[in-house]
Amino acid sequence: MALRWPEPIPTLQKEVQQYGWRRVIFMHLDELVTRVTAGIPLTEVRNIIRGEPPPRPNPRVKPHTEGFILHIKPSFYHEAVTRLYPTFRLGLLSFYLFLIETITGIFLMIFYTPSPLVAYENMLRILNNVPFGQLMRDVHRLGAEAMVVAVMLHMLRTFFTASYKRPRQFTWATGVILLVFTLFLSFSGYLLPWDQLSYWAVTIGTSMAEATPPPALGRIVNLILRGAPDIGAAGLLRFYLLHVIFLPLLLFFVFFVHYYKVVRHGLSLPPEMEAVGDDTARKVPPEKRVPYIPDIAIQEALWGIGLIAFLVIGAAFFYDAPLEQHADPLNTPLHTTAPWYFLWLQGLLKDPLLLALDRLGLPRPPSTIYNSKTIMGVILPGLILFFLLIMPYLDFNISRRYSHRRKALVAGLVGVAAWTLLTYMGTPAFAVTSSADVEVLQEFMPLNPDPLFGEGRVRTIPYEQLVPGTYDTRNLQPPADAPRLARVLEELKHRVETDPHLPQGYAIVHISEVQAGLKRFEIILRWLKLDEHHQPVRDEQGNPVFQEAKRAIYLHRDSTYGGE
Amino acid sequence: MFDLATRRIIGATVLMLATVITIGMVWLTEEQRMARYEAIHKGKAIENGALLYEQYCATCHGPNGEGVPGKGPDLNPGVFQHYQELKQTQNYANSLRNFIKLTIAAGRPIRSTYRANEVYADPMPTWSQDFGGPLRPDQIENLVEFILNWQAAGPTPAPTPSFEAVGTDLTKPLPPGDPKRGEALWNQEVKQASGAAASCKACHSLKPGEVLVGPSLAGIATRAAERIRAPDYKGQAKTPEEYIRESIQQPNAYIVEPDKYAAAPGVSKMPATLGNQMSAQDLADLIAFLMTLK
Repeated sequence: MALRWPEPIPTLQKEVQQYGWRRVIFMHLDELVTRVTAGIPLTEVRNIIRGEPPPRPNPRVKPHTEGFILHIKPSFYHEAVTRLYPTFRLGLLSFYLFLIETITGIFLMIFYTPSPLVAYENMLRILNNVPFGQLMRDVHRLGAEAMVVAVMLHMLRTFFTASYKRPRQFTWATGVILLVFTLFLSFSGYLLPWDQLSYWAVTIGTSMAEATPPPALGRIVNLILRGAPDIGAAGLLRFYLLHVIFLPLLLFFVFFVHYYKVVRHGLSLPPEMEAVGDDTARKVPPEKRVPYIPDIAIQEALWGIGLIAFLVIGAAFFYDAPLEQHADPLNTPLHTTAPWYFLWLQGLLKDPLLLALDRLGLPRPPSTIYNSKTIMGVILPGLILFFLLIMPYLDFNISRRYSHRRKALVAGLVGVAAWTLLTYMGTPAFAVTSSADVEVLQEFMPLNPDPLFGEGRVRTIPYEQLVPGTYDTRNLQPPADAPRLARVLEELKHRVETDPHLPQGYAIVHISEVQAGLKRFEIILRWLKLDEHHQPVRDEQGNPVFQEAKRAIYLHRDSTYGGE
Repeated sequence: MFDLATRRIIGATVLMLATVITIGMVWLTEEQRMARYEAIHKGKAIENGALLYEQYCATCHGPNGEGVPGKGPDLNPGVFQHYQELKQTQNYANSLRNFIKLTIAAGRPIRSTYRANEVYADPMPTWSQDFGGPLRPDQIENLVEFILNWQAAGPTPAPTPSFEAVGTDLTKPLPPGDPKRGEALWNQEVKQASGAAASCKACHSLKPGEVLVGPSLAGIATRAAERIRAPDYKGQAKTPEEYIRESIQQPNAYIVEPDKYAAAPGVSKMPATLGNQMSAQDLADLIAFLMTLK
């Protein structure tokens, strides 16, 4: 027998006749809202907005049981973890940043091709010809830096509040993996603009790969990472695929493992609220419960709004992602640095151990048994990472109280201090020596923007003030209507005359107009040539011999530096 | 005044508004910003091109595109004139930008019709990595921007000093030469009467045995005396001074080792127009200097 609808079939017309149109509209709207919210009826939405308590049974927990997205979220939190301390919302912010990076990243992907032939041109197009291109790029870059900061701080706060202890050891370990993925995600994106900054930062960052012991393995690791002995087309494609597919997928997967564990064990309470050895995060007394809907959901939305405001306003008014000259494998910038979060590695590679031995006057170990690049660049960072992973399993102090963890807290602070010190050692301000003349030229007009000197002082002179002529620092007569030029020339004079490595140093500056709107700025440095006894070298006529170094750059009327 | 929840909601509303206003401001100014960035990046491209020009091009085409006799023709305004010529006489169909770009990238495989009466030692080589040269595509683009910027500036009329050039005339009597000034001419510390620097050292080294384009001139005074006594010598010179003079003004009169130094049979790689740049005094001084190279 055929299945038949009961008679009469309800129709909209009949409903209106029976209930009146106002009630029918309400009924259907109610149905719509209930479906969209996965279980909260319209009347309950009104109650939520009015701030009224939920009825029993509570329809506000329905989205947690019915909905996909909220299924993983707890339906209530302990009141003690809803304030700024102890979480500082760093995990939530990291997750938000990952979402923002995904969205802005896809926007940028539309205009980008991972090939050395066009990658840089694509960057110029994004800046010059794509509406909102610069904003998107700046948000993406700022978000990437913020994500690294957020994840690092997240780990530090977990350490300092002892939230990694039993039963959350595995949560910590997945968190360490997430930190590593975040660093590599940021680092792999660094190369994509294919400018001098990215090319050389990544060259430094990957230079450790080759030092992986044993040498045969190191060569293979280097080839797998760079696609060739040096970074080129193959390396760019590899980094691109790592950046847009491989690492995000891995990170997403590990994130769910991490977050499942977070929810499973509950957000750990502030240490002072629990008896030593207790973990009461999952046993929340009813009067301490703060429901996810609406309280926590609104909080999380507010944090999201704040974060987006920070990124958009920051990127629009205060931050510009750098774009230097086209990558040039034949031209190494004088002061090259890794990205800031890998500067500690660069500091390690300058090898504090050998520097200390030198300072103490002790002999260095032979390089056959002690290879800095292998030990400081690969083995030690590997050990640090391994230690971080297993650290919670080695911690037998069950107390989370600050007063019971003095050694751990001191060790943590020492770790932060060492990281900071190594980061400083990684900058070109530490133990990078080049000859004095090169440093002077770099300070005044670097060929690539310098981490210490930026674009250099010469480029700060407005175009109109570049008055053509020859200026000699021994007899400086700058034009009266060019105050900025006069100041830079004074600074150059002071710099050259006071440098102990440039005896009797002076500089000659030539400014000439070579085309309409294009000027050439040349600095010629001369200083006394000294022999090994620090006596001036003299030529056949007995006149002192001067050494010379020079560099010229061109400045166009329309190109601006620093400000843009 | 307000409770915490209300304060938070007010704060978030303000932040949201600020975000929307910021995006609106970016939207409104985006056209101008993009135009400004385009100009900035074009300016930087010209700067880069100028550095590359100084590094790779200036030796043959002169620091200001004025050309170097015997090495390369002038580009400013030569390249623009040549393009117009090609358009008018050969229906050349490409754009000026592409004309310049292609010439730099692929070089000049055959002799151009431009400045056809002048002799250049070597043809324009290929510069793009696509054709085995040293430059990347973006560097070629930067060079094009720099060269086009000469035209943007309008033709720069080079002041032509009025002087009597020695040309190819070997009979004109020369004043006494000053070897010191001749050396300064050689080193390009002083200019010839035409206002251009003498380009001798671009092709001739003073180190014994070093061949740049032409032979080394170390010991030329001694060698000149031997040359005029050589059985295959076909020129007019009777003295070493006259031999050097003839070589400068009429390089085709006698070509040493033609398989090495001839551009074509009977045509020396050395340009025959060098005399057009020199006054009698310049020539005499140069000869006097060369005669000191025993």
